Amino acid sequence: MLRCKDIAKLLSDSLEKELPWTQRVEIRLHLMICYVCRRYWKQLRFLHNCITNYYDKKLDKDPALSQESKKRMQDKIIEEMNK
Amino acid sequence: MENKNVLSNPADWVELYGDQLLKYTVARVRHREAAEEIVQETFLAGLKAQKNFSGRSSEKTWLFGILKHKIIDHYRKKEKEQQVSTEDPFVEYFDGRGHWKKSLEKWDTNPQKALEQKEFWEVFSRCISNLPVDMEQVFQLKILDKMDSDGICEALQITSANLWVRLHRARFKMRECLEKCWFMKTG
Repeated sequence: MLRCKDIAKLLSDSLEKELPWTQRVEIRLHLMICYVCRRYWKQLRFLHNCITNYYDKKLDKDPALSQESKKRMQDKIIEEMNK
Repeated sequence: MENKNVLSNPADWVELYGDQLLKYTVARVRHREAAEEIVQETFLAGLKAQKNFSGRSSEKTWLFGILKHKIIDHYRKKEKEQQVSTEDPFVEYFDGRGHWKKSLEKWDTNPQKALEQKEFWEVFSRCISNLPVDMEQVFQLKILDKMDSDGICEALQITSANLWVRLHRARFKMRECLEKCWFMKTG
């Protein structure tokens, strides 16, 4: 018999990989009788979406190099080239 | 005749690719200074490796290839520096028999609407930064680099069991943080 603590771990795993059918059945039965795990599962799926969204957004930001940074990098490269 | 790509003058690389490389790196590395440092190292490594450039790919692709290695190196370095966190995020939540000690808070009936709020993402971002670095790295590789679990294990040199545990802990902590900093406050 799986405990809530194990179920929480398996729910997380299930977001990554297909679980064996025995475990899937066990999870399903457990969720039917345990409302806290049900709530956890709902929140976990929400969170999972948020994380994906968050990194997609992060990629859209456009951080440019400051002129000073550019200059510093360039100088360093030229210094190395002249070695 | 075969079309071979040639390298431009390395002195022009910063102007040509600096911003693109930085953008890529900033999304994957927590601190901007560290990101700039990695871009710098990439250029210097490229300079040293010029003679190995085969011309089969474009200069840009080639530099990105070097950058990706540098980022993985950075992750591995962080991995070693960091003490593996031994704190147990679960102890507060589960009793000795593995049952929930108390119920979880019920979140807003429509958490989807949180996604449209700028403040929500600010809180979210703070919660992500509070995660131990090793946990965030897993998300970065998975989502930004679309790596599969084997790839992530290989990159970070960890076992798959370790990876699942890390994801589980990271999600558990994120959930807790969002609950405390967002859902319990907005009600």
